[in-house]
Amino acid sequence: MSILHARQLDIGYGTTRIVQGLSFAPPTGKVTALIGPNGCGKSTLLKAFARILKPTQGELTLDGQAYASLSARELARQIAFLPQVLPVPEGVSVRQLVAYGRSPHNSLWGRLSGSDQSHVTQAMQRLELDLLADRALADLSGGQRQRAWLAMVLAQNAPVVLLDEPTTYLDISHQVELMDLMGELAAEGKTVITVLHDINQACRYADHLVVMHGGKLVADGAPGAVISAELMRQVFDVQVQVMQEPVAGTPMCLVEKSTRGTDQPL
Amino acid sequence: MGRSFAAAGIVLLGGGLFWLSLYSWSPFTITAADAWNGLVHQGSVGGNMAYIVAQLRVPRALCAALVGACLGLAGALMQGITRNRLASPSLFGVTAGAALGLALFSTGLVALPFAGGALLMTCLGGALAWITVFSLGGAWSPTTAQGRLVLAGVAVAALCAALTRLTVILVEAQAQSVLNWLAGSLANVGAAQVQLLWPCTLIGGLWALWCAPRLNLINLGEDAARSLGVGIASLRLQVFIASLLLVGASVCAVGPIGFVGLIAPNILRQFLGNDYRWLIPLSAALGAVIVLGADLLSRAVAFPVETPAGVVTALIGAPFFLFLARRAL
Repeated sequence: MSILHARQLDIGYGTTRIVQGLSFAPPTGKVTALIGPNGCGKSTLLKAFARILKPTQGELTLDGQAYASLSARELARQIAFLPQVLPVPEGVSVRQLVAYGRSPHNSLWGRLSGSDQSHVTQAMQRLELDLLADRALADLSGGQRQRAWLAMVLAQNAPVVLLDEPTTYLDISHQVELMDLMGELAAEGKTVITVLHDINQACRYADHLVVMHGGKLVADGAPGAVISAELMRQVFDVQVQVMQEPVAGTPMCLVEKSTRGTDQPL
Repeated sequence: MGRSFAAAGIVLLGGGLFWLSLYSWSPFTITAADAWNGLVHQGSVGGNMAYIVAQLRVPRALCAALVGACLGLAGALMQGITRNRLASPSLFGVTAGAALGLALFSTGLVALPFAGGALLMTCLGGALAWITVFSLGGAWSPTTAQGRLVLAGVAVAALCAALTRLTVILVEAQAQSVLNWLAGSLANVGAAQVQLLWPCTLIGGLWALWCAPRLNLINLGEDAARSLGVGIASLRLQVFIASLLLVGASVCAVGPIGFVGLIAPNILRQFLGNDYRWLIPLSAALGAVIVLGADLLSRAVAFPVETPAGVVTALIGAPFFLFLARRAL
């Protein structure tokens, strides 16, 4: 079951097409990870889901409604998006940033109601930002800032959560906590889609993998069904051994060597 | 609350300067009592001096306050929508474009024979400059360096100023009055200018307030703003129209007065942070304070001869711009 549907999407900037003929429906209540080599169109696809980019062809629907029929605020109540590159806004505190996550829900003047406040507090607690609440974003470390942005996305409380490389800047324990948090959000019934670079992390924590290559979807399914040495060689140009991860039993790739340049093109 | 104190302080300061400007540095000897009679009784009591206050000083002080509010608001709006702290009507050439529009109108080169024609021409001039600067400067491209917009603005402002001079030279008959007006002076304003300014300031100000929460989200970057429900294209259009109305009205009334839109929001940022729901209304108030102060100074520096207020704001504003540019670029 899916709330989001993409049918025959073409997405591009100017005359270059980055994503071609892609159809895909991320499962509701699951964590979906988009993986693929640099420039394969994962971020572009995520931006199209967030309506930052408009597809040149094809159709996107949310709960059966075409994207074009939804207002910016309506869409923002349904879809939360964390961009890959985050600016450091001057003069904004962590609490303010998280509170901005409530803007699709509250009055146009941005005044927070009681329930808005509790969403903000909960989001900050969940990302362990209580002690940093009144610090300026510009004074924080990269990882702390990333957590503040994640809290903003959480406070938005949308049924669809899109995260573009959210583990960037996070240390390993915060990465694990973030992946667990994504699992919790999915368990609450949200559709979580994230771009990840670490294949083993994606296999371990995502319920569903989408593998992209050259703007096309090449495989789509549970990690165990998708990941194979053949796929890794074709998509990522690496020779790997696929093993069973000893803790969770998910697939794990051990890299032997790069096969770039020695390979037949796909 | 620090913010409320700041707000109260600025409003008090504005009120004080307004009161001072009713009777200080006048070529006539006007007392505080005359000023009171002129302000409260519209000069019906208190003789000639009170009458002068009611007819000349009150409109002049009102004009100064309204022009300052317009420019402060426009500066805050432009800084918000471009996320560029150097954005302001004068540095982005909008003031110069508006001045060119009005010069074309008042010299009769472009004839619009209906009421509001002057305001329309200033707004059109400003709009043309705005569009040129924003497309040359790559305002909406996320990778553009901050300085590029300013460079485009300075170039367009210089071009507009040259064209304005050319217009004035071509039509010699009104050259002197247009030249006076071009320096940005409050010396010759009256009730007509107040009549033009207050509705524009009110509409532009309310519109700016309406945009304020969305400008806060723009500050987080356009992708984040979009995903928080901001319709970027519509917001840009609204900011464009509101700023043009504000700048157009102020140029129409008193000529180009520079740097107010740059200074007011940037001073406030130091104390208030970046919340546009505070920055917008207080930029209006601080803009009013700056122009009232500049008008007072313009009368004081070479008393009893008047220096145009635009010269005073430029004298203060240019070093301020250099200081900001050193940090922002």
